[in-house]
Amino acid sequence: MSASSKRSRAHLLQSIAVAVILIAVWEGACRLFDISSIVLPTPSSIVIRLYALFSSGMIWPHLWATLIEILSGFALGCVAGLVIGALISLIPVFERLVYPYLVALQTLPKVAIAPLFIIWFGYGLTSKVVITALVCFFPVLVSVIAGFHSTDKDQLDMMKAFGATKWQTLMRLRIPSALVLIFAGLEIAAVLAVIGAIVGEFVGAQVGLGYLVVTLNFGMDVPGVFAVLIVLSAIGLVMHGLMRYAARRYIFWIRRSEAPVMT
Amino acid sequence: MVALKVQPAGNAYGAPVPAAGAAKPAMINIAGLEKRFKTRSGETVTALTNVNLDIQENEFISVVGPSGCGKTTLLRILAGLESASSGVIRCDGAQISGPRPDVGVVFQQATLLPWNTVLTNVLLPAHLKNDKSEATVKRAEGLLAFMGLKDFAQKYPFELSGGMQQRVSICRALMREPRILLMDEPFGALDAMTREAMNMELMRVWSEEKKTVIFITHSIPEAVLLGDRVVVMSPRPGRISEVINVDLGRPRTLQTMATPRFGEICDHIRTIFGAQSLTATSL
Repeated sequence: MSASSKRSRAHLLQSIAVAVILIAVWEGACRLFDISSIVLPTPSSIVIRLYALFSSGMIWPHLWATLIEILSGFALGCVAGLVIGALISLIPVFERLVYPYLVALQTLPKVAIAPLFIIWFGYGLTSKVVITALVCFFPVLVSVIAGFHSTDKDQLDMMKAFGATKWQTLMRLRIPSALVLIFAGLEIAAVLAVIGAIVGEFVGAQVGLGYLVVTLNFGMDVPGVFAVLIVLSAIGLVMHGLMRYAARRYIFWIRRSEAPVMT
Repeated sequence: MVALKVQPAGNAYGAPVPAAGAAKPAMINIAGLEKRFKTRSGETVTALTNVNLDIQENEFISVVGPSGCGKTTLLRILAGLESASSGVIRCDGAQISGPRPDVGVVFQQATLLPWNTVLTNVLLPAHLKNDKSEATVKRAEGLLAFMGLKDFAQKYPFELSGGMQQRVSICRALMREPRILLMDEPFGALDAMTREAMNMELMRVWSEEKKTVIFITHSIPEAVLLGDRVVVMSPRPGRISEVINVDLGRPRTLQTMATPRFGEICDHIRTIFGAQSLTATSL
C-alpha cells in the first residue's frame, strides 16, 4: 500500500470518527434534555423510521417518481444546454439574437415560475421534468460557452500553422478543450437536478419524495421527514459521484492536483 | 570595443553571407516589411518597420532582440498566421499569404494536445491531411527515437518534462518534412541546463536534416551558438539594427561558447543593445 493511500485511509477513519461522535452527542443531548421528537428527533428514531419507510414499501413509488424526474430532467436540460451552448459559441448570429433572452430567463427565480409550469404541464411528471430541465440547463449552457471560449490561443495558432481546417480545429482542439469546463457544469447540474425535482413537487404533486416530505411534515412525522432528507442527500451524492467519475475518465489529462477532490 | 568586420565571402563551412550581390537567389526574401496593429483604444502601433532580409536555403538564422521588438510578429508573418501591412515577404519567389505545407513551426509553448498521446501529437500534421498510413506512423516513431523519446510514444504530455514536451513539439514540426523550420523562443521556458542540451539536440537535427531555420530567442549566447547569422532587432518600432555573420566553425559544441571569438560576437551584440538603451534614455 502506498503512502498516499495509507494517508487517505487515515483521513477516512478520522471523518468516520467525527461523524460517530456528532451522532452520539446528538442522541445523548436529545435524551438528556428530553427534547420533543417534533423539534429534533433522535438519530435512532430517524434510522428506525427510515427502515420502516423501506420495509413497508411506502417509499418506493415516491422514490421512483423523483428519480425519473431527476434523471429525465437532467438529461433534457443537459442536452438542451449542450446544443444551445454549442450553437451560441459557434454561430455568432445566434449569440447576438438568443443569448440576451436566455440571460433574462435565467434571472427569473425558477421557484417563482414553477407554479406556472404546474398550470401548463399539469400535476403529473411532465411539469417536474420541465422544471428540473430548466434548472439544469443554465449551468450547462454557461459552461459550454465558457468552455469554447477557453481554447488556448497558442494551440489555435498551432492548428492554423499546421493547415487545419475549421472543422478539424473544432473536432481536434476546441471540443476537447471545452470538455474540462463542460464537465464542471454537468457536475453542478447533477446536484441542482435534485433540487429542481423537489421544488417542482413542493409546488404541486401527488407523488414523489418532495411530496412525501410535505405530507410527513403536515402529519408532524419529523423523524420521517429526516429519513426522506437522508434519501434525498444520498441521491444527490450518487449523482455527483457519477459525474465526478465520468469527468475523471473523460478529462483524464487534468492533473489530480488541479481538480478539487470531493471525499 | 571589439571591431567586428563582416567577412566579404562565404566562410569555411559554407554559410551564405548577406551580400546583396550573392549569386544564388535567396530562398526567403523580405523587403520593406511593415506591420501595424490597431490597439483597443484605436491607436496604431507599428510592430515592424522597414525589415529587409534575404535568407538562403539551409541557412540557420537566429533573431535576437528585447521583448517588444517585433520578433515574434516577424515569425508569425513568416508562418502565415498574420499578414504584412505593407512590403513583401516571398518564399521561392511566391508571396507568403497563409500557412504553407513546407513550413514547420515550433512555438514558445510546446502546445501539445493534452488528450492525445505523444505519438498521436507527432502524427497531428499527418492526421490533418488524413494520412494514416503505416509508413507515416513508422516515420513518427523514427523521429521520436531520433529525439530520444522512443519509450514515451504512448505517454501523455503531462507525464513528460518541459524539455521532453518541447522535443515532441519539434518532432511534430519535422513530421511535415518542412524545408523551413520556424522556432519562436522554443527553449525560453526551460532551465539553463536543459536549454543547453536542447541547443545541442537542435544542432544535431539541423546537421542531419538540412533545413532553413529561423530561430527566435532573447538569449544572445544561444543566438550566436546556433546561428549562421544573427539578426539583431531593436524595439519601438521593431526593426533590424544589424545582421551579424557568425564566423565560428561547425560543428559547434558547448565548448564553442568558451572561445574568445564567441565572446567577441556576444559582446558586439550587447554593445548594439547597450547603444539602443542609451538612445532610449536620452530621448
